[in-house]
Amino acid sequence: MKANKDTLISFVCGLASIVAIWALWELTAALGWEYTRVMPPPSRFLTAFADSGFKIGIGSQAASLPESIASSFFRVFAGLSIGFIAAIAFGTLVSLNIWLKRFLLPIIEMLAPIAPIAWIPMALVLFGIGNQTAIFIVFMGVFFILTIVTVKLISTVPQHLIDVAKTLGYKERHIWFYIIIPYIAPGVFTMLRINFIAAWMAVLAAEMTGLRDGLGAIVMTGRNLFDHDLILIGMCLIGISGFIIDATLRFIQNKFFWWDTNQGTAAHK
Amino acid sequence: MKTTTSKAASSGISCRSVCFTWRDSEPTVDVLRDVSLDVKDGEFVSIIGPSGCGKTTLLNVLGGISRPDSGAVYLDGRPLLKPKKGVTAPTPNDIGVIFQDYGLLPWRTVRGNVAFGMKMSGMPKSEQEGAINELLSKVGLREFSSHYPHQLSGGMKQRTAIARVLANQSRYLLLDEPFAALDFQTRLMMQEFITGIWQEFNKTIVFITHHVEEAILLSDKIYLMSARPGTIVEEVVIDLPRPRNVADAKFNKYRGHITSYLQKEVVKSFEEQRTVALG
Repeated sequence: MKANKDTLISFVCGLASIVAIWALWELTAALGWEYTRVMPPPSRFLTAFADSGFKIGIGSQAASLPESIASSFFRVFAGLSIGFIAAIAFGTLVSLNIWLKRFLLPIIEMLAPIAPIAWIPMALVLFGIGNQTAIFIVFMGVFFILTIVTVKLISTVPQHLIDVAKTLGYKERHIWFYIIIPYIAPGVFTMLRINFIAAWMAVLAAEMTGLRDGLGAIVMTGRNLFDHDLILIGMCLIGISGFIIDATLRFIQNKFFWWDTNQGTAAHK
Repeated sequence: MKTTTSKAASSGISCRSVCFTWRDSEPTVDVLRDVSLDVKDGEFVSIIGPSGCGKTTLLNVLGGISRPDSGAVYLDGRPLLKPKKGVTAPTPNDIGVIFQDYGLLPWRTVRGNVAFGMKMSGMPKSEQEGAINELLSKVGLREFSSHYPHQLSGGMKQRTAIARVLANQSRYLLLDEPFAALDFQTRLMMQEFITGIWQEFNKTIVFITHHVEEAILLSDKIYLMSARPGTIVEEVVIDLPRPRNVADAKFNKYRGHITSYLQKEVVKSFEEQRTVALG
């Protein structure tokens, strides 16, 4: 009950501040302030957008709005899902053997700091302009760091949980499946959420470098056409979409990975 | 070191001349020295001793979790673990272990945790559902079957852990200070509870505790352990009818005897620690 009330208050406050900014923006535009020529207020860019029939670009090159949103979402979720599953699988594999760990972990640790954006040129050469490139970049943005987290968390699984499973007749491979992976999953997922922002930015950057559709492409098309309305629409959509994806990830965490096994890394929220 | 020669009993758990040394630290620590004991089928046996005397290590050895450096544990006359030769875990249907911190899986409900214990028991899938329901009723957790461990009290968590081991149909239950983290009243309740489980399910129980009254209240037999390196100093058979009364004169005699023994051992181990620290 109390929690519901808190959520409601937070929601109302958040909404109020957004409305306030919006109102101020419209007001200054109505007063003819100079900056609103390059930053038209929502009333202007939204009507301009509606007039164009919600199309991005011109002629046969135009992409529809739902198509643009859907392709960015698809790229991000595909990259995140593949990265999450692959990192857990690979981190588990590396943890199986001390030699694998010694040989492979330094490579992973060296690849991890390479920003996802830095993979764009290579991805374009490897996969050309298309979904694969974008998915690959998101994947690279999360895979290495999640692998490192997986290996680290596996070493923190308490011995007594493993003993419990052993005394109940579970074999080694069962223990991986029933104890270790569920134990580490929330921590790895939290790390995924933290790294999502970087992956998101990378996809947008990739879309700006030539993909025909996607939210990044909207901004770039706007720039090429000197269309400030379109640029602002793109920016707004990017903000709203990022917010929605983060909320979705939070929802997934609360629904599927809520248990708090590592107070240090798994924010139980 | 001389090996005790008495033959292992043909039924129950027998422990013969078990020695155990911690090698993780420098210098190495002798934890168990020449421990021999017998737990007969159907008995309720407690092991009591000063803190740090190796009670938990002994239980891990009995449960097949740790391998002794020498000596052996026998289950119904056959060796459980051959010393120095790879760990052969006991079949889970024989021995179940219950830990002080419950060891529940936080991502599974009460029912899920109990089912986790049943999975490897070999019971046909079709019968499992009903068996789990019955067990949950027995331990009084039927209404809580879809709760998660973090929503339960300590006593309920421990009852879940006990139901999980019962689900595995182990004949022997090894309990490592199972009620140490519980408050006084819950503890009393759980003592009643475990007695009921022991009688109803015909289990054999090895119970580690540092609580003298609890040991006398529950056990047929109590083994007293020395300070580290732990070894069995005395076997006290509790010859009292059940249900037992903690205010009974004879009960008090046992309590006096064991308490004064423990006091002596505690002082001894304290003195030893001081010599080590000063030395």
